[in-house]
Amino acid sequence: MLKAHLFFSLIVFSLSSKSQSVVAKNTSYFDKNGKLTYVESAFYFRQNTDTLDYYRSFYSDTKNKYFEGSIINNNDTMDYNNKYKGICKWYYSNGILKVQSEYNNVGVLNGLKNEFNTEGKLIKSSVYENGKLKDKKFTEFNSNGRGINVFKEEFADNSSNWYLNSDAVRSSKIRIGGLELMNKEKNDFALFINYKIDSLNFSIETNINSNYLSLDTKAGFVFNYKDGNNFNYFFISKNRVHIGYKKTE
Amino acid sequence: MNFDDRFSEHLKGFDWNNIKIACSHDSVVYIINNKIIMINKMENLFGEKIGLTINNGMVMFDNLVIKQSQDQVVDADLLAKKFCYYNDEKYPLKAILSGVLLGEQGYVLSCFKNIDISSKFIVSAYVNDTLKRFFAEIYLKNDFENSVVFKIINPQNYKFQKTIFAYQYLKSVESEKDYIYYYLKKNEVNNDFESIAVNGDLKYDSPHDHNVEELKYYGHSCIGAPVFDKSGNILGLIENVNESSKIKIRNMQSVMQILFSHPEVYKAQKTLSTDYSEFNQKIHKNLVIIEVM
Repeated sequence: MLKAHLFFSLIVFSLSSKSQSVVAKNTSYFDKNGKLTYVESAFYFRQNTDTLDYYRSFYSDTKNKYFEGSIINNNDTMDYNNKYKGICKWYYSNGILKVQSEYNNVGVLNGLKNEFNTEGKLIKSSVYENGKLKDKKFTEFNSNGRGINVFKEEFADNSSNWYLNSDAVRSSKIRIGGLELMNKEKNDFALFINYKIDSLNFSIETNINSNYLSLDTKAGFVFNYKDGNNFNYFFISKNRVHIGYKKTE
Repeated sequence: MNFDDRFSEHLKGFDWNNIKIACSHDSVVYIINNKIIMINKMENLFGEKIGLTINNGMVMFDNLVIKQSQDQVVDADLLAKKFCYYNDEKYPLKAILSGVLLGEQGYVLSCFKNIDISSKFIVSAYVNDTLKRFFAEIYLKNDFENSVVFKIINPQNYKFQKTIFAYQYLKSVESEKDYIYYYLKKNEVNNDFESIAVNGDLKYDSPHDHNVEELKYYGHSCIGAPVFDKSGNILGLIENVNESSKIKIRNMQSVMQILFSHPEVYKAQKTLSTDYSEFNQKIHKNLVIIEVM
């Protein structure tokens, strides 16, 4: 009986020591840019866990958590090039959650992404679908926790349904680098965005490439536009600004 | 109807320019490349559409960003800075400049590119030991020399500080090589004004301090600040400052051209050269701040 018990214990010990070797922690060291480096120069280090593809990283100096989540293309030399899966979290060196993002099984953002400041307050919240910002909108939060709805059009596609057309006099095209508008006539050719402003407190901004502008060209935006006789405008030409409004009502 | 149609030094001729408006209920702030260029009353409150436009040419737009608050002001910190107050009246603030008093009658000399004559001006000038604020009007201006003389509106007939500097025709920044320019800076802790003196040479690289808030929203308020030699002779005015604090000085000889034809102004500043020790102690009382609205 004693022999049998000893034999059983040996089996259990050998199995448990074997399983310990399977989950032994591999540690990789990375610099601030996520490139593999030496222990001495590491900004953070990464360890695998008992769960397949699930990793935890820690700051080298404070040993506080840097990251936790699943990495599906684990590559020791390029941590910055990782593809993530499920809910992943990044932390500030003081241990406060910095970013929490949700990824799909092929490693692109899909779901909620929340960003926090070093005090743990939510500063930005966005929803992604297959790697793209849903409806090109997200919410920022100011220091009082009040929300600001943001629409950001980078002209990477025409999912906002801009009126794209081309004829001899006027054209509107989405190109690499932005939205190109052309109007050979001395009148305003406007492309309106399908986005409604509900608040009296708002801001609008855009970037204009002045390389294209001539001295006689005016480009910019109209806002509070009701019709061709009632709107506000902010245009620039090569070196001049044109600010004003049209109002007949 | 136009509010404004003018040259802007904030525009980059061959690069991307960021143009922005920030609106709050009844007012709108116009911004180019993070510099406020105008604040005005909001019109057409009931229009809702936003459009990108082109007139007579071609253009490329990128990054259209629209923000709207869920329940309060967007860019609250920006909009909080946009007004200045005088006698409990609220005025939109476009710029802050420096200048120098030209005598007890309240003439103020400054340097000002493309001055908008429809603007209102508040000048803060010393009366005895107190900095007081007054409305001022443009008395003379010369767009070619970018120079302007304001006359302080002074119904109480306050006597302003005597000028303690002098002007000598043969002296210039180039002839003296070393110079000092002075301007008033708001202390961010106690809101008092302190006189800043900055030494310069012919390299014109001149790092200098400003109130952080002023710098952020209105640029270098030392534009218009007087430049002196070490004997208290005025050599010129700061005409421009670029982002790396490299200064451009408008020589006094050219500025004087607009003063010569107006003896009431010219005489006001024509004093003898003073003792430098006294000059250094008292020059701050000849300095002014000009708020442009």
